[in-house]
Amino acid sequence: MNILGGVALIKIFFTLFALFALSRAVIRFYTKDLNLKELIFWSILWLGMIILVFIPGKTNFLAKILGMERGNDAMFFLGIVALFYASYRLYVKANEQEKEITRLVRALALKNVKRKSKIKYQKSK
Amino acid sequence: MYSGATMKLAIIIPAYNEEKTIGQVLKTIPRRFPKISQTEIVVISDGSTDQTAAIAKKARVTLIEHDLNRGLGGALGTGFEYARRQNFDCLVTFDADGQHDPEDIWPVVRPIIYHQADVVIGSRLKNPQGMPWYRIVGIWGLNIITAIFFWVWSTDSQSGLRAFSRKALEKIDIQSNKMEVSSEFFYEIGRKELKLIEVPIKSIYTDYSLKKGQKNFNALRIIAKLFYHRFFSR
Repeated sequence: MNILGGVALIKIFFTLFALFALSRAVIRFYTKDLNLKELIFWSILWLGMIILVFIPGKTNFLAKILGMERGNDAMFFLGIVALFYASYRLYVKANEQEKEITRLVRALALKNVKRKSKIKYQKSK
Repeated sequence: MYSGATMKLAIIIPAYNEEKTIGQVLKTIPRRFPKISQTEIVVISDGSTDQTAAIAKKARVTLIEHDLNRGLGGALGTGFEYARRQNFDCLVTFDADGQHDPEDIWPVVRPIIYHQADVVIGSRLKNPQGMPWYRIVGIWGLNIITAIFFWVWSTDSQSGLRAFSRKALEKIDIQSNKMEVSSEFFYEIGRKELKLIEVPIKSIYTDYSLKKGQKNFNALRIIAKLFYHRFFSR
């Protein structure tokens, strides 16, 4: 669906989202959660995305590299790969954190052992 | 280093909300064994929210309490660490749900005491009387999976009654937090070239222990975790 003189709705949504993301980065820069380098990185990333969205046919070269017909297919393909990788990273991270928590719980537990009974049998058969 | 008459034995009982059975289990575990000079029963209350820890406190046993529930693997790992620090010569793992016969502890410990093995598994499937068929199928499935992943064959890879020598204690490094630890032991046995034997044990199946025990459904989760530990972790 095209409105506003032939601009696809998705492009408008994407632009608004990118601007929103960019504003978050700026706010986080002012609250000192981001340093200048990071702010520049995110600004270039999001502004670049906005510009890319409005250049027609920009994904076609990607499709050609991947041996696909359409730029959209290439984007979907890359998106799925990226998501799979992200979920794998999260899985690994969650597992490692589980291990860390266990180590911590173990260290605490072994510090407070209630060793009430040591049943000793000097001579037993 | 081993002088037969002065061996120290630790019986590790991981327990998560087992107030119904733990008292009886602690009462019935024998404390005297041939060639063992000291027996210590160690209950690891794995973040229990019921009376498990209180009951264990009253009994004459050592109590280690996890502040958070970490799962079977986490609890056994703590037991192993404790046994290493306290220089035990032999470690037995025993379930808190009352499914093991305390009389089976000695048959499992004996091969360790006489240096016939590093790890002894009490196998419920050598004599699977009274075990429901779906349990047998589930355990066999996990036996096959354990063998595929770790190249070690066991007739009861999920048994909770096992014994470990000092050598095994020092070499086995448990990474798993949950039920998959049972299979992970076989990874360590294979990798560290520990000598494994199996002895038949009885299993006491009550409605309670069946409800608490592993469901076949869990097998899928275990497979996913084993896959991870085998190929992605370390």
